[in-house]
Amino acid sequence: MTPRERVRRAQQKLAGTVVITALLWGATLAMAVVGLAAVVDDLLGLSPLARATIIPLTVAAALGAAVAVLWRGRAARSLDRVALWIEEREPGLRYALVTAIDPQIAPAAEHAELHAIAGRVDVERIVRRAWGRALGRGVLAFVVLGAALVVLQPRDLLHGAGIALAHRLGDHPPAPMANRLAGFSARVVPPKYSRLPATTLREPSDIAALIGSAITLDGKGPPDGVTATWDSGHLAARAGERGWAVGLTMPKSATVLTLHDRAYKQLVALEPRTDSAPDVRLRLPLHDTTYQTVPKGKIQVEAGLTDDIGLDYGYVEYMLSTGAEESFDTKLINGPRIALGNARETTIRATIDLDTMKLSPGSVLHIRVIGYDYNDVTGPGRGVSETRTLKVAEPVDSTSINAAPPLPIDSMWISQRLLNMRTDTLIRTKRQYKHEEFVHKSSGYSNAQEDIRKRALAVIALLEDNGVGGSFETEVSKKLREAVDLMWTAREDLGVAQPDSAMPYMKKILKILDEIRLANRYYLRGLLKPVAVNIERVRLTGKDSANVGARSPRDELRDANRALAARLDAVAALAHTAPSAAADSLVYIRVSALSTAPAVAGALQHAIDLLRKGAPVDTALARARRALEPPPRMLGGPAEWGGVLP
Amino acid sequence: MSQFVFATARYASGDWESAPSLPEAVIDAVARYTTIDVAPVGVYVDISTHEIFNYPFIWLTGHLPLRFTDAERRNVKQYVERGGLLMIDDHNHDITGVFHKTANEEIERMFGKMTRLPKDHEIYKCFFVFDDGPPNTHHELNGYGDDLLHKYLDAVIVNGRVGLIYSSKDYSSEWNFHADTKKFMQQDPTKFGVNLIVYALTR
Repeated sequence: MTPRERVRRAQQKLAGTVVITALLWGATLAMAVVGLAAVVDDLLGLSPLARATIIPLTVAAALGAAVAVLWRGRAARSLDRVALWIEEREPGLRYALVTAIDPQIAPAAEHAELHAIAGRVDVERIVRRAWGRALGRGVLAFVVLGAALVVLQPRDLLHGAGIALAHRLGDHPPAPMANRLAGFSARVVPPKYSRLPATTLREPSDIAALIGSAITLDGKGPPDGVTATWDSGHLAARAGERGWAVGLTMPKSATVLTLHDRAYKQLVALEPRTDSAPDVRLRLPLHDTTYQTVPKGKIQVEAGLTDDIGLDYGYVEYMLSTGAEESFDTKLINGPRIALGNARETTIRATIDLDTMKLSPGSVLHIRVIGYDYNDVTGPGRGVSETRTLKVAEPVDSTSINAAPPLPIDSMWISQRLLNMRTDTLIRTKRQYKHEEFVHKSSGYSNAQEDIRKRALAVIALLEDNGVGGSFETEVSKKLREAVDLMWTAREDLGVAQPDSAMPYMKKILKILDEIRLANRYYLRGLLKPVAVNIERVRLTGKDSANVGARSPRDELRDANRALAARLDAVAALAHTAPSAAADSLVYIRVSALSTAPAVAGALQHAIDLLRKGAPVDTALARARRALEPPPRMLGGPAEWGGVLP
Repeated sequence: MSQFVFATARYASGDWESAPSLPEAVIDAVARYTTIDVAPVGVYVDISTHEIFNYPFIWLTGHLPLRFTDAERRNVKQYVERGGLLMIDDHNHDITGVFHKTANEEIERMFGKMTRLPKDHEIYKCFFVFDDGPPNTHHELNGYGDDLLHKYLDAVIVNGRVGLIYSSKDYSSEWNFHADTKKFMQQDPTKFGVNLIVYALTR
């Protein structure tokens, strides 16, 4: 290959490189303009005029960059300039190449040595290096800006810019636009932590979603002039996929959002749903306890946790108070965090080693379980169980605390167990007895069951006596009542010689008694003896006289339901003459009723939907009105309204 | 009109019985300064039962953590919202103590943040007039507990009426004495108790 042919090939490659580089830089500059516009639009919001200039600016930037690169590379058109460019990079040639490519000055036959020198140069290497340098920078800039645009997502912006430009270039004033709010839709994207899917609603009058949900309302037509207002905010529409779009976040309290397009408007009730805090139920220890002596060993803590969305972690909290009278020292101990893996329902279990707690008479141990959910928008939600209080009685408590005597549950359990065994034997050996004999034995067992039932009732009375004339149910008495009910049924079945039917109940009874027996606890029952004041002796003997200031009477309570009813009545009058205005009013009434009268809010939604469809609404309004009334009073029977008893 | 009965709250978690003579001293003051038909003996009422709704005013005190059970919480919330007046007094007179922390947590859980009662609130002038707000106690002046003079009481206001008062002043210590002792006192410290009861009965 002659030097001329080699330089010609290099020229072709260099020309190609210039063209490709021009295209690359053109595209890169265009992306830079779009990216910059997207950033400014996000931060400051671009005016319609600025939007209209985006596309021309982008095209101009692309063309400018491409032309500049082509101009810089124009030397590639000349073979001599290419040869000189190579000589510049290989000074050792001493113009041999430039001379050798001209057949008239240095024909190959006469200047063989010159051609040999020119032929030794590695033109390919020089061109390759130049190619890599020129394209490398362009490709790098292209990739960086391309990645930035992927993040910025300027598709909506460009769409809006195209519409804005079309408006500016139009020779004639745009045709009158239809209502751009017609056919609008709402896309609701719940917060990520909720793991709920996004939903799209068509022309909603009400959007119910978790607080913090991203809501995008969009419709057809240009965004200019479309706005959204609510009690605490105002937003101008931006260009969206379909035309205009308004994005907002679900607020913490219910509100009415109004979309405006010139004289058109559309009301949308925003109904925030609160993420419930975790519900934590302490299962063990079953109830509060007062130990007569310092307890030893281990006790189990167990709690059930539920959450509407997902649980993050939980732990057991212990609070140990030691001391007496006015001097107490309290230590708060949090157990290890237990990861709950976003479960909606789970159980936490822990063991407390009482031996390590250094309990002493007078110590009080409070135990509760705390759970947190995954809410990273308004939370995290915190759920707390009931607190169980384990006390160690002091010797002096005997003056103020009347510890209940040990419950006679043990003996009751033994009696029941024996009765169960005997009944079981009777069932198995039924064929050995004559009928009368069998009935007699079963009847005897029935009496024994009744005896146990009476003993259980006595224990319940003891447990539920609060010492000052009242009574209250305890966890144990509640369980014991359950057993008493079963005892009654078992007694009845035994009494009619049906021990087979009685047996399942008797097994349940034994199980309940066993549970209570194993608890083996005593209950704090305060019995302070208050001192009586001699009222007659001290009446009005005080030396200080009162200087009574004005005592204002209690304010009359505002009847929220009555006010709501009056508003509903006004809407009912409006529904036939101006259904659209009535529907709008109902949206406002519904939002205010969401917190005070949820039942009414539910009924009103139906009425709003009917009004918007042009359907009769009287029944729906009457239903809402009825939800405001107090529930009907049940009469005891005919005597109450029927007058005189016969 | 039925007789006013002074009620002390009995709750599961703590030492509700820590001021046993307080009812006697306050009942004595009510009889001494007013014509209110007051029962000579107070009662202890389990706040987990509906019995609390029989009493317009309930005193609750203690040193140990105040952690309501679900039933207690439900009842107390209803009691306050339905027109009762619950006085919760920190017997530790210590805002760093467990009673203060746990009681405030419980109150906030039920009613949200409490309101500070201004010194010119009706409760300070509905019978005796206390120009400087809640009267101080010897326990505050002598620097016990948190060594602070608490100038205000906190409250839960329901429909313009005080439904719950929280005190760090330790009236439970100040008023925990036999009524007969008053004859040796220059000032009757329980007069503010009369205001509390008059407010509870008239508002």
